[in-house]
Amino acid sequence: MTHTRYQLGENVMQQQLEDVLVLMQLGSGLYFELNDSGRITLQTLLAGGDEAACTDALRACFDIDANTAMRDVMMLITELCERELIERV
Amino acid sequence: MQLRLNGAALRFEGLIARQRVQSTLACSFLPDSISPLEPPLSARTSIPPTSSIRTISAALEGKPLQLRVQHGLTESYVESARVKAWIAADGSTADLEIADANEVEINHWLFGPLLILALARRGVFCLHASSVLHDGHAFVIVGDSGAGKSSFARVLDQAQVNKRLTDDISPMTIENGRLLLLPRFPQLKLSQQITDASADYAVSGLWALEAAKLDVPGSKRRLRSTDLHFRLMRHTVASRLFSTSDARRWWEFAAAAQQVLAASDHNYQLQARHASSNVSAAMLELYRTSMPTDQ
Repeated sequence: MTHTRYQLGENVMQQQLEDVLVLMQLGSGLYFELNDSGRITLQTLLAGGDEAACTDALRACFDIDANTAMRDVMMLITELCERELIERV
Repeated sequence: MQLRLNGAALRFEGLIARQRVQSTLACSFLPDSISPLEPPLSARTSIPPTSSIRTISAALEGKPLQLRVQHGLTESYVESARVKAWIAADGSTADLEIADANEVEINHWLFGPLLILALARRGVFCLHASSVLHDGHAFVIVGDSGAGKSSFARVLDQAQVNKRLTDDISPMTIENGRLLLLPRFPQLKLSQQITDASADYAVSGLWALEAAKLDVPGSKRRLRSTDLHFRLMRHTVASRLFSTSDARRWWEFAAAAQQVLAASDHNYQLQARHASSNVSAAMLELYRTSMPTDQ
């Protein structure tokens, strides 16, 4: 069974600035910031990882339990999709 | 985990809602006025037959204000029913068709959107900013309308503290890792004798002015990289006219520029902005307490 893969939304730009990843939708002009845990999650997703991989990546960097990490990952993915910052491939 | 959207404050939409008439210089074509930009931008203006304009107007009736269509190797946009313009993808040529135009209106288009877009396609982005020269480096002053950009630069210039380099429009580019100011945008707001038309200036600082209430004390703080990146983009002129490829260059420009500026940017609350008798003194004091002394 293959997992869902994601890519940046069309016309979404990203840039790492110090400890923040910024995203902008060129069409709407909306400008977003992702903190470090959000950046790790997004980069893991864009590298082809699934939700479990994101959870593992977060737990490798932060002292966080698996359930909390998974819940946060799912929430972020939902929000990124709703805002069309990422889209399913 | 946080996805932060700073609401209205971080919204680019409708950013530059108007274009100012930049020039009423007594010339109709760009090459003479923007020299020594290399290669020069060649521009042609034409006033097509009335029947053509009527056709265009009819076709555009009720359509969105901006209309992008492919036109051979060039990308064109239409700003209004009376105006049709083409700019080459490499920013080398611009064509303008405008109905019933006088010289002032033609110059408005040539020295406004067309020149700014042509420059953007060459990697030169025009900030809505003034700038001054300090110890051989340019300091750029940005802020919303009414924040005091022009006043600040003028006060410093008149007090012979810093020479004013640009006013209102400040073209900048990245070259060999350096952020350069090209103080040659044709405009009447700035007296020509206070600029050296042949010089570029390395930009080493950015001041973001904000008008503060009179009862709020002035303050300054370093801008975070994200704030600086955002401000560089927010204060870019005509960004709403950028094509997707223009916007991608713009994004990369801002990212590169913020790296150069990160060490010396400042943010001011401009106190006493509206206390006219004290504006000059307040600005000079602001300058004295904020200008880096190790430049």
